Amino acid sequence: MSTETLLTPSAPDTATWKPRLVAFVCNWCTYTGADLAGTSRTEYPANVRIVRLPCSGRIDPHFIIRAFEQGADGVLVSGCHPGDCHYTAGNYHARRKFMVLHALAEFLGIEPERLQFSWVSAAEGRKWADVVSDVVAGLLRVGPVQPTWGGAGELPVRSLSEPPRPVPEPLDVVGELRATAQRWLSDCRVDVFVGYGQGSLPGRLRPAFITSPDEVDQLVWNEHAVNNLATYLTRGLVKRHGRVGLLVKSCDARAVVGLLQERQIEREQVTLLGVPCIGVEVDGALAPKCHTCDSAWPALVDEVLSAEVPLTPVDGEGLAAEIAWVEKMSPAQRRAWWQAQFDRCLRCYACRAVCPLCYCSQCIADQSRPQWVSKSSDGRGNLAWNLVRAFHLAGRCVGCGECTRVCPSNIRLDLLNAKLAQVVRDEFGYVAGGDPDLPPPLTTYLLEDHEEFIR
Amino acid sequence: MARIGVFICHCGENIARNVDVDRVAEAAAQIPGVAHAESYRYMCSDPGQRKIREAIVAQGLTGIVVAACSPHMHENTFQNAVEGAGLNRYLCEMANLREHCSWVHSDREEATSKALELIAIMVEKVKRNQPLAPIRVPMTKRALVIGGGIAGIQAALDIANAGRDVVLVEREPSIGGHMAQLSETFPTLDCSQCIMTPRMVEVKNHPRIQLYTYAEVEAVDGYVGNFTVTIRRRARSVDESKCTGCGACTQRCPQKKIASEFDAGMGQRPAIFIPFAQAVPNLPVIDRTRCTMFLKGKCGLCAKACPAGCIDYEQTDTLVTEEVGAIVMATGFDVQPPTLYPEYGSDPDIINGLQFERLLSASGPTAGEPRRPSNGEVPRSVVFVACAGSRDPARGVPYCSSICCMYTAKHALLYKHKVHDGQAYVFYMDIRAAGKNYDAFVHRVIAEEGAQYLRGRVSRIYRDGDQLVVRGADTLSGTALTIRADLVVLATAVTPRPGSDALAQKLSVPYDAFGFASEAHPKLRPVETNTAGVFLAGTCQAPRDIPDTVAQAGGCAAKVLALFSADQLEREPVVSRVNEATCVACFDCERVCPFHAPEHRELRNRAGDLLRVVSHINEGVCAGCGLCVVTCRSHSIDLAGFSDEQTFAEIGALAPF
Amino acid sequence: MSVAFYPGCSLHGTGNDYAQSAHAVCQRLGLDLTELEGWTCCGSTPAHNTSALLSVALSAQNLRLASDQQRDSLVVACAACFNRLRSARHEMAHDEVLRGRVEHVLEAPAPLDVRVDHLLELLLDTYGLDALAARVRRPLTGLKVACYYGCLLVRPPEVMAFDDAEHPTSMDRVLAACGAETVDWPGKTECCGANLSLSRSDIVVSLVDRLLDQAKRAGADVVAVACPLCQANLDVRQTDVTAQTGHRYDLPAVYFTQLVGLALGAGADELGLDKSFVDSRPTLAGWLS
Repeated sequence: MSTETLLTPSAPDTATWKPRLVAFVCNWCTYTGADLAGTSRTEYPANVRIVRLPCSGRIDPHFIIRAFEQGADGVLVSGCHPGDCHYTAGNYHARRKFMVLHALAEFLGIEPERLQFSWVSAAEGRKWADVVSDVVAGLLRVGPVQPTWGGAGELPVRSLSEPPRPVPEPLDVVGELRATAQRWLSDCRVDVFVGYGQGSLPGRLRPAFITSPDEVDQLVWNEHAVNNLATYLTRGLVKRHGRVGLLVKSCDARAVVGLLQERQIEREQVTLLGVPCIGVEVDGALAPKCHTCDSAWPALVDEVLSAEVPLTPVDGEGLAAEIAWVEKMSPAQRRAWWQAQFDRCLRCYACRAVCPLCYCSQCIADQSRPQWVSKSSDGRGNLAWNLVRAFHLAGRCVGCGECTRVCPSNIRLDLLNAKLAQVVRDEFGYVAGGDPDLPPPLTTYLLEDHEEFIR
Repeated sequence: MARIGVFICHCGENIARNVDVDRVAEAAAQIPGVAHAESYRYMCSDPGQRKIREAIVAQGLTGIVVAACSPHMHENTFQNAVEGAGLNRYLCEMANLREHCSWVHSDREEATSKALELIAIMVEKVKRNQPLAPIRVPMTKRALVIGGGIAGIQAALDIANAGRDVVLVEREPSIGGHMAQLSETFPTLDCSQCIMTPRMVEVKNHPRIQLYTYAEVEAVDGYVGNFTVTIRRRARSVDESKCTGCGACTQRCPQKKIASEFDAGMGQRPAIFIPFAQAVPNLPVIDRTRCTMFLKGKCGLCAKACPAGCIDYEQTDTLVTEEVGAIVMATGFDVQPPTLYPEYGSDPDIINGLQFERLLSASGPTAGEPRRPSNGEVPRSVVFVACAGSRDPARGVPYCSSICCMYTAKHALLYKHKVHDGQAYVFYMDIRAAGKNYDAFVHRVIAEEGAQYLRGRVSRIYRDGDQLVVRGADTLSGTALTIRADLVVLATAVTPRPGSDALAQKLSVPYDAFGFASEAHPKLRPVETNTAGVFLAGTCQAPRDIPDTVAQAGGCAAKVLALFSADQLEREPVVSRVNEATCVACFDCERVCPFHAPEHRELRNRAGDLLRVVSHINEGVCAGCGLCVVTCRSHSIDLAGFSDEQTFAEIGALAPF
Repeated sequence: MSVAFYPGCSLHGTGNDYAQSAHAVCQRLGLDLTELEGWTCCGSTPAHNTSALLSVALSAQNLRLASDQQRDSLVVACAACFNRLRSARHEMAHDEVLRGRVEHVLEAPAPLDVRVDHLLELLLDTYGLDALAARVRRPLTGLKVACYYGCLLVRPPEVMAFDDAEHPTSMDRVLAACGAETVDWPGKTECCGANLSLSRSDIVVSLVDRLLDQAKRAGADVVAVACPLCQANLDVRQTDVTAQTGHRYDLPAVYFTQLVGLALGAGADELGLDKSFVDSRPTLAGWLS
């Protein structure tokens, strides 16, 4: 039997199997609409359990994940039509979050029938009954959640559209780098300068925290300078020094923009020294992010090191090709593939530790009342953690790729991030790390945001 | 240890018919944490409520699940019952066995097992409910009324006469609104000005009313009980403190041919003008878009004419800030221009109802004698067209404008009173005369005044020489009609005042597709809005006539005064709270909150040094939507009554079914 | 965009001059007006008075032909054909069951991908007024035209979606682009009596009398039409009008295409100006070279 047949759900025995549908609905429109279905005696399948919340804006993606964990076959999310929100704009914000969630679920291979969205007003009792009937019919079609072991094999590593490219010779900027750092420290312009220092192994660099002008000779720059130093801006280690000087590549500078937007740093606390960069190395080849990088020069800087930068055209599709490869699979294959990925997760949280935008003082993965994410590194906990991590970075991830680089299990977190970045770019016209004065895309909305996925 | 009581209602037969309530009660008693479960025929009745109260006392229950109808129906009833037995009212939840189960599922077995599960879900929730106390916030006992038409005037006077200060803001140079423009009012034919102008004067002289005319609300901050309102006072170009209203300036103005807004274009005014003789305040204003001094930089005749020297071309807009605790929105309506239908053409002798009011008004440009705009002659034949735009989803607006049937009948009557040998024709779709004595009035117009009522639509109007030809249908006789008329009056649709949608946005009040502000509940909260402390009076909410408007304005005043009657403001405690220990101050909550509830709170040590800034939800403003809760990545915000833990517990109770 | 021209029976018969002038106009504008190969009856009045299915199926057959011949749009000049084709398309798009029945009759899919456009829409939307004005060689300056749309072009509005149903201006705009002065008159969409012409000619006479009277009072030199039946009634019945009412108008009723053609430089014979009962050539003499 081929993998394909194995993964195709067998036709469920509808006589005995009853799909379980959990509906998260807002209090003012859909709950009241369901009340109206009752007062009008409009019959619909008894497979649905309603969880009442004040507003569709209160419907947390975690609730949906938990419902699936709890064995639901499908989840229906429903709120007020645009313009009808009791709280003026809750459903507009919710619509953006649902858009991302919907795309994420699809990318992970969750059949669209299992996660459905609708607007049902207080006057639409009939529509409520129709939506529930429809969604239940859809669940009967796709059947019970099937096991997906024996996935679709490994993604050919970073070689779908282009061979690994050699790393170009680094630009010679070390002299000016040290001189600048020395000047900043001597002038008391910064209290600490964060750059790269020689690592303990050949070909490895590690962050260097320079607090005295005498120490600037520790600073180096070469193609191994892959770490995103912006991460340190929110860490106590650096913060307690006061004003920070930071060496940034063009990709790192985008993370600084994110931190400014989210008010984690004040602009005047940080002095940015831009370094022209023509590519860094990961696993002996040019880092994937460098393939599609279109600027050697960071956009947000206070000073910049000078160098002759050879023209390196953007080539290849980078992660887009790999995303397309994943999307070509059938939903069941996709789910199996991701399950195989997440199954390797050790829950070491290295991805979290290295991410410049994961700065919460207490991560929800560490909270226990309620327990958002199961702490065990088992299928349930791993899925929830990786979903939550990806969702929290939607519209915020600047694509530095550090999470994937440090993952000891080689989970393709970068694909999840890049997929959501695509959605945010295509749907909301937003690219993270650009303009620090723009609101992050999931904290705002447009009246004309797409909603084709909502019934 | 939780001791939950479950009370299952038969709702007569409504629930019991499809749900085996006894079996459910038996099974519910087995749910861990449930100390008591029983069923009763009418749980909401007095004996039913007594059962709950008695069980709470006798069994020491710590939480209650009433499995009955929708919480929208009786949550308040059961919360009161629970409170009567000394338990906090927020320790009571409802499982909706009627609307969401027995009424929509006919399979008794399925409905019964679903009912039990709905109860189990609520048991898990109520176990995690916290006793909540109503929120109390201080308030400013002063009201803002936006709009100085009859609605705003009535609301302002009612509030002020009850001893509370009122700020009244009017966009036009004078208060009075549309009612001041009307001739006589249906069905009693009271002279509109005679009943309106004394009220306007009362407003002006009231010690508790601060009146701003020629002013607009620029910004609204804050929340119920504590609004801060910025008002833009537009430059009148006249020093109000010195002007005596003598009118010398208006007589000297060389620009005399500007269409008068007050006369709906039927009369003319100069560039410096007092809108009408009875205006309040009786002060002139310079229309800077038409004044020669502003357009060409020279003239100054009005300044020379003014004996008091109060013309001030340099005057600028000023912003004033007022603190108020409640806001009444009374921005009123407009009528569509008489040019909606191109097949009616645009002819000077085709006017709308408001323009005809001015022709009928004793204070109007023709001193109350109807005259044709084209040649000034008295029209011998007038065709009135009702529903000219209303109830026409294809080309106008789909709703009924509510007042046209009556004012059209009044127009026909007044016309006949003034032109005895004239003929009035009224084309109508239906006659909607639902007010007190209204139907009798219409019958009087038809039977005694001889207005000819024709049930049908007008398809085309065109000029033929000196007259207009009106072609329409009489659907009762099934004939096509051609009527020659001297004047055509279209009862064009009532629409919200331009700009009222922008104001509604400033007030966080939703509005419908046409721009009418939305009430909180069409039946039970018709003057409230979803923004606490903001109320609606008059036609900004929907088309309505004067008696209804006055009644609604009085209702607004009562709501405002009731709000002000408490020492402090009391609110439902379903609000968000921030865990300051884990808040990372990204302030995404601030970005998403539709109500501006999140504030910046500074955390300081004992020495007063700033440690951190964190988010703090202003409970007085928070409406409890929970949007911030979901937006907060560290989950440092939670919503009382719908907490994360409660919701997770509900999901956790979902058994395979 | 590839279009096929649907002439319908009238344009091969009484409305021959309409077809002639339409071709003359399109040829001068460089618009391809190739006839739909194998076209059949549109369903017209006889069919939709007897069988609703037949009337839709006949039109659907023509849509299918256009689709088979890879046309994006079917361009129609006759107002009745235009009404039938667009209605059939609308009905099939909104009624799955009907569409199924039609496909059963046709034994082929009933395509909805072919648009139905009136010749006026072709000039207005596809060709554009500016482009048209640029091609005008003999502007119709001084010619006063009453544009008469009749009923079938514009009604029912939700189906036809042609201009403003009560106050259409598309023909006015096209002729204004040709330099003519179009008069504002109340008869634009009034009834001409249509096919009561034979059974109750008395009604037609009274309606035509009123239309001509209104056009004349509005100062029109000619009435421009877009429908063969309107043209026939307004033109042929003028002698009857005079006989029955004593009113004499001598007001030519011409196809709008004839006026456009005139402006583009076509001659009287090319436009078929010799075909009407009330000769328009004396009125139009100033623009005929």
